[in-house]
Amino acid sequence: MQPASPRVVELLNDALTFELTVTNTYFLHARMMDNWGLPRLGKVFYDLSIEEMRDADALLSRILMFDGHPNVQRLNAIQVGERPEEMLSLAFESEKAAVAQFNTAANECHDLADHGTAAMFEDMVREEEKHADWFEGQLDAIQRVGAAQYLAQQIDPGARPE
Amino acid sequence: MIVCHCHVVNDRAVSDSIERGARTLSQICRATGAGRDCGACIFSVKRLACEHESRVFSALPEVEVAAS
Repeated sequence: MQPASPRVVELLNDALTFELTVTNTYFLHARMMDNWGLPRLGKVFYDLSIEEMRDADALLSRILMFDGHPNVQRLNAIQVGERPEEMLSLAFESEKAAVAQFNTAANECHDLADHGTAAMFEDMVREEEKHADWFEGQLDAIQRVGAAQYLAQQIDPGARPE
Repeated sequence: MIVCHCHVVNDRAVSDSIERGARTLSQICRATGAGRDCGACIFSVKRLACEHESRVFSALPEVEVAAS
């Protein structure tokens, strides 16, 4: 099936690039958190990484539906935090960037009269907004209780080696 | 924040290289090791350089001497 405009495939590919970038970043952050003994935060990043991968899957499938070529080679610059707080702050910034990018993409799709793709971007905006809000909440909590107190809650005290 | 994953270079190393006198992108890369393998981090390094010292890097040259 042909898209309303070739621009739609470009927008889908741009979103795919974003999702693949955060999938990799969150996956690495998850395992670094685990390695630092913070498995609760690690689990959050792991689950988010899988969620973003599912988004990438949906975008890729839609590009193929439009007989376009999904670009899985292109990634944005991957920024890896060196401390848990920095990882949360980088994730917050990246989620906000996603909201802005997908909102713009939804707008463009509406202008091109491709409301199906616009609706997909709108769903993704709502999802990324929830993620951004969660990360913002964690950064607020760190401000209130201090990094040490916050991170103490991310340890799994009774955990045994697997 | 790690920006170059091939040589594991973080944002502080980029800032430090500027503090120590690196004034072009290639000098920063030579000093830190960033951007010397796959090159995917070059624009991140450039952005960090611009953010670090917007005065000095207001006209950051891509290369030290242009080919004539």
